[in-house]
Amino acid sequence: MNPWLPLLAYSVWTALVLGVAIGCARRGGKRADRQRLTELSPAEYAFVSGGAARAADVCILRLLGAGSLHVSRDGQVVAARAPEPDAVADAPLRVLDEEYGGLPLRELRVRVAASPEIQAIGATLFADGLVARPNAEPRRLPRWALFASIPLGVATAVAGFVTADDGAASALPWVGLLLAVIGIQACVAGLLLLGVFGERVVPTAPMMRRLIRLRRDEAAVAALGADGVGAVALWGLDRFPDPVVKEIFRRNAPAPGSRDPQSPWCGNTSCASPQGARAGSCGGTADGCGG
Amino acid sequence: MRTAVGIGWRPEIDLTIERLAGVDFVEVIAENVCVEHLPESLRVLRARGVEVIPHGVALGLAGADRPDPARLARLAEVAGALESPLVSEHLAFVRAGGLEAGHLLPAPMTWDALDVVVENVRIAQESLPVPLALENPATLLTWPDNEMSEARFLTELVERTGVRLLIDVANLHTERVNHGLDPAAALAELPLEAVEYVHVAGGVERDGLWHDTHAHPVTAPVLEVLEMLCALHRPPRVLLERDTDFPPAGELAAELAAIRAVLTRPAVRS
Repeated sequence: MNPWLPLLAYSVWTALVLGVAIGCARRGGKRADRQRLTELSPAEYAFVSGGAARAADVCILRLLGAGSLHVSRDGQVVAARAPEPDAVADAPLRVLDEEYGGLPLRELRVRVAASPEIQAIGATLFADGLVARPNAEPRRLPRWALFASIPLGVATAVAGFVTADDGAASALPWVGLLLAVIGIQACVAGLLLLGVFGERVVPTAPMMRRLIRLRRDEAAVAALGADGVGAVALWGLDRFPDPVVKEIFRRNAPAPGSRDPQSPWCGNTSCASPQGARAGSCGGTADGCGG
Repeated sequence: MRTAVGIGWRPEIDLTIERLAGVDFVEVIAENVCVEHLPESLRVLRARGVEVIPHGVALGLAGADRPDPARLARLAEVAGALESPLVSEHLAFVRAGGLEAGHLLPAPMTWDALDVVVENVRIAQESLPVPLALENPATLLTWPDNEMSEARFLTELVERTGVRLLIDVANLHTERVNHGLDPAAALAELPLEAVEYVHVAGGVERDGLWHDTHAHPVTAPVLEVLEMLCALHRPPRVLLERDTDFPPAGELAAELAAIRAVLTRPAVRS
């Protein structure tokens, strides 16, 4: 028998398992409306790049830049004008309109992220085929995928041992192969945990290509929103140029446990967490990018 | 002499105020400042050289009771912590017989009341490390047996105690609407050389009464009273008050610009 055959079979099987799992996770993806790709607002880019939490931050920052909100150094936010009835960008003002004396920034961020206006961004993007998984459980480990490749992995190890037969001389002949299989399984688990399954918002391929192109084009990013709002939409608060406001946002990051289970794009995860932030790019800080 | 232009510092708009151009000084509600934990914004403004004036609302110097030593000590402490050039209070009483009114109530304009206020002001002056300025309040009612005008009362007070004045032109407009006061005559009667600064604020007229809300834009009649005052005597400082319903920063800047425009009018400059 070809000594590489078991390993090859194991690799193909593992790839198949991962592919099916990812495909299931991305269910709901459909043909992208490419025209819409060129018309997205900063809040929509923020939603794709950082979830409802970042879209809320972008809305708040735009209103701050326009002078429609006052934020104090202690993190209290008050409205400076009445909200427009229909404008998505006025979502923070509509939340504040229900309160007397404003709201702490921390609470405002959570409530705006869970607001119908921001949640509707997710629904619209999904309807346009630009994101997938509108109602999937985030960070849920698909256990069947984790265990599906273990039997073949063990069989591969045994076959490899029998074929090579060079571990018999060792005092612990199985240990090396078993460790290899366990290591590979751990990698599979890690991929499942940290990969697309850890994301709340999964861009479809056209959307992802658009994001990559946009992130390389500084002029386009600048045009996306004044005063660094475009950069925040794409990368997170870390790119906001005003250090005082950035520090106020950092100090008033929503608690990781803040959640609104009624909001479909917050689901069982926190609307305050950087849903949609790619694993390893923005980390797990509550303010989007740890800025 | 250039007149400094300032704005009332309120915690909700601290960052907005820090970023408004041309703010020479600010005023803080003294009772809202904790000396042990000075707001970061006030520290930033002080580091920039912006004057901070504590403005008391709870001494009740026009009351029958002597001013509370603890309140005076605290006011002095705030003035010291903020390196303030002066502190200000109201010619009003806020409590009597152990009851807190929660409002600035008008003093009776009588000679007996004047004696009481003179003594209260002297006690306050002795306790404070900086000059004290008293503000004419806005009123919806007056006492029936007043023996003199508010301007005369303030003039007597200045002569007897050397207290400084904070003239609120919005309050003079309030008196005009609510009690038929002639602001020009009142200003002519006042010792304007004692004026340390001037308040300008917005309000609203409802059912024939002017409410000094500090929550509405400054109106032309209020700026007209400011112009009257400035034509008689150029004050060292003018301050915009806004306590709630804060407008966008641009509108606050426009109101400050409107005040500066009054200060640069030919009648005022001469």
